[in-house]
Amino acid sequence: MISLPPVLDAAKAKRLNLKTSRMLRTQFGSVWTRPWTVISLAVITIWTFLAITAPWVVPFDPLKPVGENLQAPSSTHWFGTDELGRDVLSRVIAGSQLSLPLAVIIVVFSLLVGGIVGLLAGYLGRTVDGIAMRLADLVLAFPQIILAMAVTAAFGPSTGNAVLALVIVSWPLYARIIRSSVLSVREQEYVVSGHLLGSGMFKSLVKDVIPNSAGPALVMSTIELGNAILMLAALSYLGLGPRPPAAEWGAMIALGSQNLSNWWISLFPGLAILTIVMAFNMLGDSIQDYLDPRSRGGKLR
Amino acid sequence: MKPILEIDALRVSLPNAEGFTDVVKEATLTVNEGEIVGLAGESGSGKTMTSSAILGILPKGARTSGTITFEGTDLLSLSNSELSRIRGSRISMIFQDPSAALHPLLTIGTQITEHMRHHLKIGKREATERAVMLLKQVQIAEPRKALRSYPHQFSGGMRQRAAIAIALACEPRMLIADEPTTALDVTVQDGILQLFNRLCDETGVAVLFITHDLGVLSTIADRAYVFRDGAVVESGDTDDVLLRPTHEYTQALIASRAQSLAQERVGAEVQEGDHK
Amino acid sequence: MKVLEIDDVHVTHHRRGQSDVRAVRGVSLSVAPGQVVGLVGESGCGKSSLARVAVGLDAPTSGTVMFEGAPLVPSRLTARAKSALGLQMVFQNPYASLSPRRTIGSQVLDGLRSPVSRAEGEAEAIRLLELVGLDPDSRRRYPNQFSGGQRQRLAIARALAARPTLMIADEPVTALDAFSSAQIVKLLTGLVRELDMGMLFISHDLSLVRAIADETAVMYAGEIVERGPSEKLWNEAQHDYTKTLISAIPVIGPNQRKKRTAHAG
Repeated sequence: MISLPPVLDAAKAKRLNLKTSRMLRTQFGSVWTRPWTVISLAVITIWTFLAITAPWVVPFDPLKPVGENLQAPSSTHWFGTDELGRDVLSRVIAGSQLSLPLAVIIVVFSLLVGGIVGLLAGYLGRTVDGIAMRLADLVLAFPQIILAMAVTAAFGPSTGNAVLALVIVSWPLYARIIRSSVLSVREQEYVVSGHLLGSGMFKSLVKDVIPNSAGPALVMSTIELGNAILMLAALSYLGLGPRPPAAEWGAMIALGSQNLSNWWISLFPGLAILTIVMAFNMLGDSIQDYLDPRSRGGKLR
Repeated sequence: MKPILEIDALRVSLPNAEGFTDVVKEATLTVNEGEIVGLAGESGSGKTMTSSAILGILPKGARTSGTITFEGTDLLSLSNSELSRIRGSRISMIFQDPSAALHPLLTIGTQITEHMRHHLKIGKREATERAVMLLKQVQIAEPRKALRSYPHQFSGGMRQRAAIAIALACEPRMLIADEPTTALDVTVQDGILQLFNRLCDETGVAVLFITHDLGVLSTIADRAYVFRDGAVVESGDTDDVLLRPTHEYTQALIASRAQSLAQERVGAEVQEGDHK
Repeated sequence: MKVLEIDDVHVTHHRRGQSDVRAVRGVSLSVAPGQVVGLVGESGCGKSSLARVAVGLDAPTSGTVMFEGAPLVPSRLTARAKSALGLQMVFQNPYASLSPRRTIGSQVLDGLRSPVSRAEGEAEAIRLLELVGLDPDSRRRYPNQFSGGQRQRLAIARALAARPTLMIADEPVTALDAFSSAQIVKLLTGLVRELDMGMLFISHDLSLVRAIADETAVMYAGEIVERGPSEKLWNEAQHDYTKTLISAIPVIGPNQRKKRTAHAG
């Protein structure tokens, strides 16, 4: 016998639910007003703003030499200049125009491919599941970055191929996580009763399975945004991504690392990556807490 | 009748965003030596919180007031380490889900003997012999074989018997049983209830038996307390409480039982038959 | 004509690496319109396997299930045949029977046989909620705002949208407290009478089945060991298992306990 829930009749149910949800809420009330959430959202907003307005916000042309080579940070060049005399600040800002949209594209496509595979594998089971998971295992057997390098090198280094390679190495992660959510949702009574009431596979998936299994995948995708930026930076560090003179953070770090006494060339793009990846990770945490029935006591049971 | 446990004006409050909510309100009850006292009521009525307060296993942040006197000591005033010496040895607890109470990766024998050796400081061989006696006492067949078995090899009823054996290992003065038969089939439940009766008669252990099932209450408890919303609304001899209830809540509880519904139905059909 | 006819159904579960489990061994059962048939059995007797076959979720290993005179085709992932929509089920766990992500109003209308206009949908949702004794405003809310008993009512309302002629209730009140349980039992008996539905009521609690069912069948180890009118079964049980079951039910009475007085501590 299942443990009996608290005694409730209509009005009492409301009172008790309110009480419980208040009891369980964090010290700072809603997830969205917590300091870390606010900070991370602010950081993401600032970077998005910079990415959109980069052409107008940059103090100098990021692709052309505008000053003396290798100048340390000064009042004219806040982040200094690199070995070709380009303003580092402008290049860091311009870099967001590349990294952010590319990361979003990578995550969206990985989520799409992995999501469909995971959904079908979890819902249809047996052979479909077997094939899908062996494919996923195949990809996951390789270290992500090595495989991405191999694919990009094989297709020829370019931005497009870097994105393609990263989608290829990332989809299995989403497939797995969505598959396991679907497996547990599939047997829930509400899905079964949906079938009894006449829902076919499509209706069942769209109305019941997807909304209830999307949570963990959504959380993962926010964190994967940060990871995509890192991997993109790594690929371009190795010369396999966006071609020079494109201002891409990873490429900038690569150039700067050849002469670390000019610390500003590597540091600032590195800090850019750090701040945005951390912001995405914290956002992912917040979304997870938002969706977690135990820490909110409101939306999900 | 000498009291072994006296709860006086117990108040338990749990924290929430605006302050505290009382989940137990001024509960007063007594358990005498060698008797079985039943706590009845629906979920959320405070009966489990009351028993958790006795052993100091309330949720984090809970506040208590009042006194819980056991063998002359106020349990509410004890520290956790002092309480841990009482838990399992002077007062033992049996839970609703025996699978949760038993470690899945240890044999039954290990679980009983470890427990005894920790509290009673006896050797392994002596502990094993006592374990065999305990398993016989709870009527588990082939006790020596059972000692080497794992919980998943037992049925639900046997697991509960094993949990009872562990609870009795250190010869406690009192057992707290929190809905121990709710998750069991009715035929298995019958056996466990008879076991409790026998154990109480044989060893003189006092039992605080929590249940929502009034039939079980009637079968096992000498005296009963009916809880509602954290307060005791009726108490007394079980027969008085269940056969001559004074409080309307108790009457409503009795009326909503399946047996009452069945009798209602039979009565209605007879009436219909008369009118035909 | 019987609404549901289960004829000599066997259900055998095959497990890799382990011997087959014969969960149901030749069970025959039927339910007439407006009749409540109770199926009583303890855990492991096969009643859940039988329920799944009876409602068409699984196919029996052998034997037939006829619904409204026609053979029931088991569906699983494919859409159920329209002719089978009159066969509905209420489950044990009220907390898992509704999607937490959709409003009540949306879910309650899932069983409608044909698409309706927004206004018609609203009206139908209101009608269904009132039929189960809930506030029609509930349709805008989400399931987590309701108690266990209320959720069971919602699950029943959802099943009623398909205009069922037979409802299978699989331990519908086991997870509920006494008051909610009594209310749901009264609701179900009322609906059976009002809508002339048949009902197969499955439970481990014989006294509960006695309260609700006209006919009772007792299941043990995959077989029906005894069946008959509920009162007769209760008062004149023939089979040993039935007798054991009845005598094991704890009743309120002054009989069982010995009076324990000042005992040697």
